[in-house]
Formats: sequence, C-alpha cells, structure tokens
Amino acid sequence: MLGKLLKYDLKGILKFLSIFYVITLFFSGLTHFFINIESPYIVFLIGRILSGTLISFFISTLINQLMALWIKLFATGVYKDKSYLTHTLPIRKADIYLSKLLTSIIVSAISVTVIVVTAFIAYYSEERWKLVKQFLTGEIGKTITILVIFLFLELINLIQCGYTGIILGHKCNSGKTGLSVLFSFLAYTVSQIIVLLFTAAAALISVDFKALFVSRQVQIPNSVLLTIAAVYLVIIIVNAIINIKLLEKGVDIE
Amino acid sequence: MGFDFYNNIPIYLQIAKILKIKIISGEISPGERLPSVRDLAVELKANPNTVQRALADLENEKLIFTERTNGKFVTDNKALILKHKTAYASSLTEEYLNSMNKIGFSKEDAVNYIKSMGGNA
Amino acid sequence: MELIEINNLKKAYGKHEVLSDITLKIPKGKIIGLLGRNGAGKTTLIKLINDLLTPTSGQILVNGAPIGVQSKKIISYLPERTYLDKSMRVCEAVKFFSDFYDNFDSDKAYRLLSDLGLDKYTKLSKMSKGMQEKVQLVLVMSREAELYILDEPLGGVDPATRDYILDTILSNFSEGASVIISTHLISDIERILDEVIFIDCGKIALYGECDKLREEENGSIDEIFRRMFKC
Repeated sequence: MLGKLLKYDLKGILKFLSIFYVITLFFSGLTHFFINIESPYIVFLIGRILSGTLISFFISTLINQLMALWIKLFATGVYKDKSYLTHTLPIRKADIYLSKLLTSIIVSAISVTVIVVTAFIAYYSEERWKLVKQFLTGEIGKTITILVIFLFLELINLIQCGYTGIILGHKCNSGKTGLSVLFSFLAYTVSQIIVLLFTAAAALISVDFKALFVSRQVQIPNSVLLTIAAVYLVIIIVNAIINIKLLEKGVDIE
Repeated sequence: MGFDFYNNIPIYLQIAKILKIKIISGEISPGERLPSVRDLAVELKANPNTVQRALADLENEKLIFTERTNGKFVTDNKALILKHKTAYASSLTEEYLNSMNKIGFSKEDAVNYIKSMGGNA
Repeated sequence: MELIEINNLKKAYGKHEVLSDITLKIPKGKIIGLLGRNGAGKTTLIKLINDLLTPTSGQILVNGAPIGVQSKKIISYLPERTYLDKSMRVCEAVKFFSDFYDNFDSDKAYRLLSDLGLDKYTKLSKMSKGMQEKVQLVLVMSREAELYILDEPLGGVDPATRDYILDTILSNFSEGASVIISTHLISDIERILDEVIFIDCGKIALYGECDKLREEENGSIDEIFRRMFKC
C-alpha cells in the first residue's frame, strides 16, 4: 500500500514542479549560450542577466518545492478536501505519513539534482570544469560531499518541521492555519536547539567540537560535520515517529 | 416503473396485496415460479427484506411455497386460490357498498346502478 | 455480532457538544435511514464511523474491532461533498479506486458510468458538480462492501437520477450488506428503508423498524418525523 500511495503522491507533486524544472532547464540553456560570448557588450550583458534569472529560478524552484510539499502534498492531503479520500482508504496512518515523507525526500533530491545539472549546463566550459574537478578531488571533495549530505538533511528536517507544525496546528479547534505556521517555527527552533545542545555537550568531550566554540577558524573537520549530520538524521527519524504517533491519535477533518 | 406505495401503511402489507392480486387474477399462474426476492425488489422499487416479509405472509396463507434450491412457487391448489379470490371479491364489494351507502345509495340502488352501467362493464 | 456497535459515543469541540452519549447497534443486511434536522449530528456521526473525526469519548466497533484498516476495507462512504482530485480523469479515478480496494469492480464501474452518460476520459474539473457527484456515487457503489454509508445522496439531483440511485442501491443489495442513508428527503426514500434512526441535538431520538412504526403510529415515517420535530 505504501508503494501505491507513494506513486500517486510523487506523480501529483512532480506534475506540478515539472514546470519549474523545465523553465530552469530552458534558462540554463539560454544562459550557456549567451554567457560564453564576451562581445558585443550587449550580448555579454544579456548573458549576465540570464545568469541572474537562472539563479533566481534555482531559488524559486526550491521555495515552490517547499510550498508544494507543505501545502499541496501535506496540508491538503491530510486535512483539507483530499483528506476525505486519504483517511477512508484502507491504509495505516503510518503509511500515509511515510509516503509524504519519502515523497519529500525524493522530490528534494530531484530538485537539488536539477539545480546542479542545470548549473553545470549553464556555466560549463573546458577550463572551468578542469578547475572544478581539481577542487572536487582529494580532501576537499570529501568535505563537499559531507557538506551536501549535511545540507540535504537540514532541508529534510526543515520540511518535516513544517509537517509537525501542520499536525499540531490542526489539533486545535480554531486558527488552524496560523497555529500551523507558529508550531512549524517552534518545531524548527526546537530541532536547532537540540543540535546546538548536542554540539555543546560534545564540546565537553571532544577537542574538535570544543574548537567550534573557541577558535575562529573556518575549517571544520569532516568528523564533526559527519557527527552533526548524524544528529540531524536522528532528529528526522524521531520527529517522524512522533508525527506518526500524533496522526494515529486521530484527526478532525472539517 | 416501480410501484407507488403509500408511505403511511406498512409496505410489506402492500407488497403482499400486490402479489396476492397477481396470483388470484392468474397473472402469475398456479405452479409458476416467482421472480427472485431481489428481482421483485428492483421491479417494485422496494426493500428486499420487506419483499421477503410479504412473501413470508403469503407462505403462511399457503398461497406460495418454497422449494429450497429452486425458489418460490405459486401453489397448485386452485381451490385455495379461488377461495382467496372470492374473499377478495367480497371485501371489494363490501367496500363499494359501504362507499355508496355513505353517499346515500342503498344496496338495491347500488345494484340497479351497476345494471344501468351494463354497456361499460 | 453486529456490523457496527457504538458505545457511549461523545463528540465535543471544546465546550460545544455535538454528539452526547450515543449508543447504537447497526445490524447486517438492512437499509437504514439516518434522519434528522440540520445540525442534529448526522454527518458528525457518519464522519466518526469513517475515521474522519476522533471521538471525545466512547468507542465505535466495526465487526467487533476498533476502526482501522480492516473497517475501511469493508465500508464504502459517499460524502456529501466532492472530494476527488479534480485534476484526475474519470478513468484515472477508477484506476485509483481499484488500486487501493480489493473489492472494487472496475467493469461494474464503467457500466454504471456509461448508464449515466459519463465519459471516462473527461477530467473531473471539467464536469459540473452534479456530474462529479454521480462519478463519486458510481465509485462507491462499485465496491463490494459490507456497509455503504451515503450522506445525502439524493440532494440536488434530478428525479430521473434519483430513481437510478435508488435502483442501484436496491440491486446492489448483496446478502448481509447494510446501507446507511442520511437524508432530509424522507418521503422519497422511506419505501426502501428497513429501519430508521432519528437523531436530534446530538442524541438518538428514535430507532425502529419502519413498517412497525407505520402500524403503531398510523402514519408515514415522514409524518412521524414531522410530528416529533414540529417547530
């Protein structure tokens, strides 16, 4: 049942986001064409403008993805019109939630991939690529990978805190939308505080962690990044379990 | 399509009456198999349970009987059917005479009235 | 074992009590009318049975077990509102239902759809509200459920379709399946009801067999209802 649910949830959201992906791809092509031409100046200028537009589309894609996931996928599917269908299908509440969560993860991965690929298309040149390859191999390459994982987990945590807020907001009798936003902020803040507390606690034990607080250096060791990423992962899993338990307690659909 | 029931009289009684009339009029012949409960329900636009109850009533009066796997059948007992037919005719007549009486026609008046209608009957 | 057993069910929103202490047993194999004025609690009770609302206290048992995946497999619910994904085509909605319900009959669904003149390739968003409601009815009746719950299935529907709906309910009546119909239009529907529940101000005012009530009260269910709830 989870598989079937996932199929429909994914299809629904990707159908909506595909427009943004296509537009971004289109602009990346345009940018690539214009940005490598240095003269005449007008063309160079157009290239720069297109590049700016492309970047704004990267941001727009991410924001629209967040809104699509929070509102179209979760709020509408679990609490508004579509919820009549969602809650009367012979599926467990846990499956409903897991489908939403997995859809969020997959869609986020796709969005990030689209952004990276279109950036690659837009800004590709022989020499730039040589530079980037040099940059990516070796120690820095590993750090970049861990950083990507770390940021991805942060994104998933952000999305899920939104879900927590929506669930808590709808447990109240009125002002559900406003309270959903409020609880989302609270949930996110709590998650960040937990990470902070963990880091502080770890600083008592480990020199590396202590260095985060004490020294001004920018270079963070991979082990530290990896550990904090692991903390995020734990937070995501625990939050998911909490959300499922909250849903299993029951919903009240208008 | 569908029979116009009165909602203020038990429906099972009305169904029983409809079926009884079909039997005593010969519309459903002696020994003939009745439609299934479901088919009757759809035809009359009535609840199958109510149809079932009406059939049970008719079975009590021995007008129909159940053959376990084959369904329900009208009785072969032509004498019984005739008896019910006569009884129904009597009640109709009594009803008619009462109605005529209410508007001032005596029994003789009513009989003469019927005779004068000869051409139409 | 009764199909549905409701014990001391209460539903309140804060201080406002919508259902108070409902105790009820719904049997198998009966067509039951759920009648009451606006705001009496009909839809609330129906939503509670369908897990769209959570009881404040009390319990609902379906075939002896609490509401859950098993109960949803055997209950087919037609809400009063349109709830399907409007971007779907009719055929996609049929596929959706057959994906999630083992007891869904696609062939039957397409037959009913063509009877009602509904094209399977049309998008739901392009259909009128009445047509969307018909699609929903078809989907609900194409499932082989143990309990059909229809919330105001006849409201806003033309007489010909009304007849069709009643016919579908009657011909769908398989052994042991029950139907709960919630409606205002009592006189249109009372002929097909076995039993009737009157609900008023969140409480059960009456629960009885229709023919028995007709005999005892010398009137139609519609009349009995009016007498009881005279303004």
